[in-house]
Parts: sequence; C-alpha cells; structure tokens
Amino acid sequence: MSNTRIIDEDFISRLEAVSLYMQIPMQGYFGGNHRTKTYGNTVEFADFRTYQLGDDIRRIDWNVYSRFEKYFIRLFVDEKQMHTQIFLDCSASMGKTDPDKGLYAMRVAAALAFLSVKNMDKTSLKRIRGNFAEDAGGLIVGKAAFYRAVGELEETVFAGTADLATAITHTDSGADNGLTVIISDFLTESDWKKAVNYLLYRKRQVMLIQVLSPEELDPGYKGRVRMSDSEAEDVLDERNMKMRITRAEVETYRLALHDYLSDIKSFCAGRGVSFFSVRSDDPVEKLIFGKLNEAEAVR
Amino acid sequence: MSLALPLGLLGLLGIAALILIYILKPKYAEKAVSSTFVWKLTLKYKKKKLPFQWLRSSLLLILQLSILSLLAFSLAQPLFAVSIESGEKIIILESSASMLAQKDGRTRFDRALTDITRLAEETVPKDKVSVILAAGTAVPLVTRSDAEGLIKLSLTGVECGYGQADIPGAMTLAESILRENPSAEIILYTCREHPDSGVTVKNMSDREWNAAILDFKAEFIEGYFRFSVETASYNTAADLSLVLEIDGQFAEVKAVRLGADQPQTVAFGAAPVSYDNARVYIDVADAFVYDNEFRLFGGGKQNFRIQLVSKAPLFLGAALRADRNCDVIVPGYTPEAAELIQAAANEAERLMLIDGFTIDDYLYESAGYDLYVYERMTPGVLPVDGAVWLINPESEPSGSGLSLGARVSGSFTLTATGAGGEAYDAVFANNFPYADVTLSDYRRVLRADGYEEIFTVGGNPVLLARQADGVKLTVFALDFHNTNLPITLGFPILINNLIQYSLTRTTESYLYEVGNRVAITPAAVATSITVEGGGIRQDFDAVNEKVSVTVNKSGAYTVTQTLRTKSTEENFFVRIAKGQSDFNSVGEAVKLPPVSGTAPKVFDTIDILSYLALALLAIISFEWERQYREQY
Repeated sequence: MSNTRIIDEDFISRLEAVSLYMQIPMQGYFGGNHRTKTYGNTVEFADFRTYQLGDDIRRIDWNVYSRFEKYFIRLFVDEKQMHTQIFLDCSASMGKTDPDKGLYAMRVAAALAFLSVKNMDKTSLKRIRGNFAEDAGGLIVGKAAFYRAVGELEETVFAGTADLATAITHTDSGADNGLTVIISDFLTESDWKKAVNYLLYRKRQVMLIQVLSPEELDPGYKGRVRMSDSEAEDVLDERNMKMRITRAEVETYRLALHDYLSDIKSFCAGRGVSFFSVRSDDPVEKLIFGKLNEAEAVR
Repeated sequence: MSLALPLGLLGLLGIAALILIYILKPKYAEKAVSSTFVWKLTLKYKKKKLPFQWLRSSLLLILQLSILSLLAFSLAQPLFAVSIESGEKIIILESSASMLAQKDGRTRFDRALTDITRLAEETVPKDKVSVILAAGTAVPLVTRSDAEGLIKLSLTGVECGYGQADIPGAMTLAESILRENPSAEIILYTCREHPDSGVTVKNMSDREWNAAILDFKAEFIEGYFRFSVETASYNTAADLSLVLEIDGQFAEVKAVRLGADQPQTVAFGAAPVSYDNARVYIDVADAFVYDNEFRLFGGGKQNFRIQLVSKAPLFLGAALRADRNCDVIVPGYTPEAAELIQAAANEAERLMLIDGFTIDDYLYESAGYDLYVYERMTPGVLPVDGAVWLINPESEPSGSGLSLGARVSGSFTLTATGAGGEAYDAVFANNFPYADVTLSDYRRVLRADGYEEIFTVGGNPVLLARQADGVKLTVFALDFHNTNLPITLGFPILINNLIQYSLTRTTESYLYEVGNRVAITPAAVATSITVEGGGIRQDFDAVNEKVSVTVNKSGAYTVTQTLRTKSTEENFFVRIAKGQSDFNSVGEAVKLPPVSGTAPKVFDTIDILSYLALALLAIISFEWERQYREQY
C-alpha cells in the first residue's frame, strides 16, 4: 500500500466544495463550524428574548425598543467544534485477497477525514486490528496533521482479524461531541451491533459504510471449491469451507446476502444510524457526492 | 415383470462403482476468498429454507444412477406382463319375425349382421367374441373366438327366423360364457327397447311402417259363419282395404281408416253356412309382409263319412249326426230284401222281417268310410281304411281277436276299468256319467286279444277297444235297447267321445303359430304323407304312426295323404305371432346373469426395451444439460 496514493490534489479540491453535516444536537468544543441549539457569539442572528438583569446591555436591540418600548436583546447562533472518529476495519477480509477493496476503504476514510478537518473539527483515524483500535497520525487538527495521518494510513496492512465490538467499546469516544464512522465489510462474527449501541449510548452520531468487493456481491466461481478464508489462521480453521457450488448455491448466496444487508439496514434505521453499502469497484466520488449527499450527510 | 436375461442385472454393479467414484472424487478447486461469512449463512439457508435442496444438489448423481439402472435393466431384457382390461363381447342376435322388417331393401336382421361384423373386426384379435342366435331356440354360432375369419364364417348364411326369439335361453348361454370371463360385455341386437336392462341394447328398429292383420276369426252364429278381423297400422296412420275371399272366390272388401298404433276390429257382412278356406289380406307395400294375409280352414263342412249298418238306425244315426263334421250314411237294403219288406202285410210283419235280416241283406260298403258302425250285425271281414264300431255283435268277425260267449241277463251296473288307456281317457272325457247306467243284458266276451277293457259287468268286459294296423276297433258287448243309456244325458256324451276317439283328424288344429310342432295323424291306409308349405316340402313314406313337422315359416300348408285308392288333402295355416307385428312393443328388461367371482386377469406381455431406450436418451440428455449448466 505504501506506493499507492489514496488521495490526490484533484480529489481534495473537489472535496473542498462540501462539508460534513451533523444531524443531531451536539455539545462539542468551541471553535468549530457546527451549529448547536445553544446561542453563542457568532454573527448569525438566531432569536430575540426579553432583557434580564445581568445581560450585556450592548446586546439590547434599540430598534425594537423604539417600536415596543421594551428591552429585547438579540441572540446569535452558536457554532462548535466536533470530534470525528473514523474506524477502519483492517482485518484481512478488507484487503488481503482484494487490495482494491482495502484501497477503497482507505480512500473513503481519508476523504471523510479531510471533510472533518476542513470544518476545523478534531479528527481521529483509527485502524482496528484484533481487539484494538490504533490511531493513524494521532488527533488530527489542521491540514498538515491530516496529510501526515494520510501518509500513515497509506502504510496500512490488512491482515488478521478485527473485533469491532471490543475495539470500539474500549476506545475513548467522547460524548455528545461528534460523528463516528465505521468502515468495514461487516462480514464478521464480531458483534458490531454492540459497538453501535455503545456509540449511540454515548450520544454520538454513527455512520456505517460497508465496502464489498464485486466478488462478494456476485461470486463468479462454481463447481467443487475449497474456499480459504483470508482471516483463517491455518487450513484447519473452521472458517475455511469446502462445498459444491451450483447455480442453486449461488442463488441462495445472493438471497442470504440480501437478507443480511436488509437486517443491517433495519437495525440502523431503527436507531437513526446512517448506513451505506458500496461496491469497491465504484469511484469513491460516487459515495461522497452521491449517496452521502443524498442522505444529507454532507452538504 | 420377467427378465429374459437376468444376468444383465450384473450391470447394477456399476452403481457401486459410480458411488465409489463420487466418494473418491477429490477434485476441489482452491479459492481464496476474503470471507466465507455469507457462504456460511448460505448453508443455514439451505438447511432452513430449501428442504429439498439435497435433491437438487444430488441431481447429477441421481441421474447417473438412473442411467446405470436403465442400462442394467436393458441388458436384462425385461418383459412386463401387464393386466389389461378385457373387451370381450357376447353378442346376442335376436332372430324373431319382426327383425325381418325391411327398409331400403335391407332387413333389420341384415343391418344387425353388418353391425356385428364390424364390431367383431374391431374387437378381435385383441379380445374374444361370442355370437348367440336367439331364434325359437337359442343356439351359439361362435363361442369365445378371436379369429375374425371364423366369426365371419359363422355369420355367413344365417337367416332370420319367423317366430319368436328365445332371449332367456340366449342369456343362459351368455351366462356360461360370463362364468369364464365375468367382465365380458353382453350386447343384444334387437328391434325393440328393453328398458332397465343390464346389457347393452342395440335397437335396429328404424320406425318402419307395418300394416298388420293381427287376428282373423269365424264364429258360427245361428247357422252362419260370421268373420271378423283385428287389424292395425304401426308407426303411421293408414287407410287400408281388407279383402275377404271364401273358398277362393272374392267375397267382400272393407275399407278402414286406422290410427297409428291403434288396433281395430272389423266385421264382414259375408256369412256363409260353411267354408273350406277363408282368406283375408291387405295389399300394401309396408315394411313387414308376413302379417298381411290370414287364412282359416275347416269351416263347418262335413269331413268325416260314417256308414251305419243297423236294423234300427234312426236313434243311433241321430246321435252320430249331432256332430256337424260327420256325414252319416245308412246303406239301403238289397233288392231282394227290399222286395220282401215291400211284400209285408203290415208293420209288425215288416219289423219281424227286418229283425231277421243279416248283414248280407244290406248294400253296405267295406271301404271308403272313416267310420263303420255295425249294430247287431257283423261283417265277415273288418274294413281296414277306417274305424269300426261293433255294437252288440252276433258273432266274431275274422281277425278281430274276439271270442264271444252266451248272453247274460239280469240287472247290472257298469264298472270302469283300464284307467290310463287311450280309449278309456277318450270315453271319460267331458265327464261321462257311467254310474247312472244300468243294463239288463250283455254278451259274455270269452277272449279279447289286445283289447283295452273300458267297462266291465261282474268282471266281464262290455266295452272294449283295440288299435291294430292303424284301425281303431270299438266293441259294445251289449244292446243299447237293453240299457237305460238312450234315455240318459250321458248317451250323446258317450257317442261324441267315441267319435272323437275313433275319427282322429289329420291335424289337431287348422291354425298354428310359427315354431309350433304339428302332429299329423295318418289315415289307416295312408301309404305316404306330404307336407308342403312355407317354401318347404316334407315327405313321409310307409306311415302307420303319427308324424310331426315343425313349421318355421308363416303361410298356408297342405297335408297330402296317399291312400290305397285315392289321395286326400287337408290344409292348415301358420301365422306370425301376434306380438311380432307390434313394432312399438317394449321388451322386458334383460337382466345381467348374476355371475359371481372376479374377472380373470388377462395378461399381455410388453417388451419395454424401446421405452427404456427412450427413457435412457431423455435422462442422458438431461444429465448433459445439468453438467453443462454446472460447468459454465
């Protein structure tokens, strides 16, 4: 992966035109670009309220006083900085057998990280391996840090397994202060739903992006096949399979995959979680400017 | 199922080899996949949602096993013995007169024969056919044959009868065939409906028109014969002309208007005192001609000639003449005897003279009569061409086998003996009251060879009868004048009974029905008899006993007897049975015979090799298609 640029200037210039958009109220930190329901000191008018003792008299609206002979003060929108966490599943299934799938996942992670940085938010790129989530480039604030983090991200190796639930629930994700994106194929026995529930408990906005390779969507192989799972530890690993694949098996596979995706969608819809399933052979732009834009996750 | 070559089943060992190949077949392609997660889900789906998926996944193996099995069976050359449903037919062909009704030149019987031939062609050789001809007596024409040629040969030359059909007899014959194959179908070819029948009825009737003379009668009323005709027109109304001929001469024509299927009786005005031959006919072109004519014979004319030789013939002559069929002739005296009587001074002397006469004083004949009656006189030789009564004979005629003794006087009554004899039965017909008869005198009969004793007095026979060489001889060993018979009501009964016994008619009736057996009693001196009529002629030579003929066709018949010196002719008429003329009559239900048991299995051996080859081809094609789809 080290020789591959996951993000280039042209793509970044196109990302400059959009921003991440928070759909839920957040607390966050001062200095960000995300609106909150509280009133702050920005120049964007929000509302009036009657004057109270202790209010700054400089905020009294004299024009209103001249009309109603009552003291009203003007309120302004407050904007805060959020903490965006991007979890990238770095198990073998994400890129060992299909590097394009891994590359696609990294590009999505980098693109979302850029959008977050562009909003002056704090951003974390976390790679999940085994039971842990490690930061790539630490806490990213500013574009310089972003590029540094991307450089580390490009060095990612997809290997082993990834326990999403354990890795995410053991990560300090903060509270009421931002967006958590999980990029994975979700083809795992790990209880990732537990991680999502945990994040929601922490009142974070959650976005799931599922990356599937074309072969995973439509297996092109038939006949008697011994399938070696990329995450298998050895040939005796029970994840390896030996089966006779006929047209009927392929049809059943499609049905099972469809039902599985429907289950994920249903789970997410019931919790206000955004879910996007993408093909790894599609351009990343199709996700950013297409699906995310349609879902008003970016504007 | 049987196998022509059972060793061919060794080919089934190939199945074991195939299974072994499947077990040992190790060729699995290596494939590295990112995750088998969805495939494992797929296996759960197969277990949960597709319960018969094992069948689909094993389809190739199943097909290949089938191919091997079929090949092995083909090698074994299997033969299937399959039970097939019997289509055996039992055909009953009604051969009654009404089947002779014609339309467009073909009778119902002809049409039925054509139909049966076609049915036989359709049935054999796969199944068997039996044909039963239901004529006056049911006869099997062919029994359970599957040979088309034989069946057609049996139908060749079969002619329809003029009588009635013996359907019950035919069903009895059919029952015997049904016992061999209870599933055989009985088909009745007839010309009328048989509702509620248990057999298949083929009605050959085509609503043909039949104008018929159903009956023709002559009643003797106040000295004249009155004729009446019962006639009908079936299936259509018609105006008919009934023509009456008497003794060959036109007598009368009657025009009648007949409604359809409504019999009507028509009386003629012509009334002869006697007739020999009365004929009524209708001249129409209907479908059935055999009931368009009717004849009556024997209309009161005197047919029997009786010679009565007696010294006092008036009383017995009157008793004999009471029968209208009898012409009684009393011979006159010889010229010498007549001269003596004429010379008698008075009646008493005349009676005395007559009392002393012998038979030679009479001009009697010894031949040419049907009955010779001799009272108190005995001919030297008995006549041989007719019956003879000897009443109170003075002596025994030669050849009579009699030996007479003395007269016995007293008061006697009659005792009936000899019950069961022909003469005895004849005498006691019409309740002859013999117990009232008393007598005061009789002649003892010492010997009576071959005689049947009818009445005896104290063990001595007084009324005897014998039949020898065709001559019936009756002997009264008593004098009517010495009995109370003439003053009892039994006397005319006795005389009539004895006439009936002695004067046997040639035929018992002048009218018969088709199918009847006509008994012909020959005259005593008949040398031959010829019966002619209905298109046939039968000759009987040297007859001395009754002969009989069966009349199978309608029409007038003539019986000609050749006697020693002459020949005689008598006629009778044979009619179609009345019911045969009714073209709208409904037959009785023909019930299926209650044959128990199950139908025997009829087996047919089928060589299924060609079917196996076809199945093999189909399965191999299917297997190839499955292989192709799995590989590509």
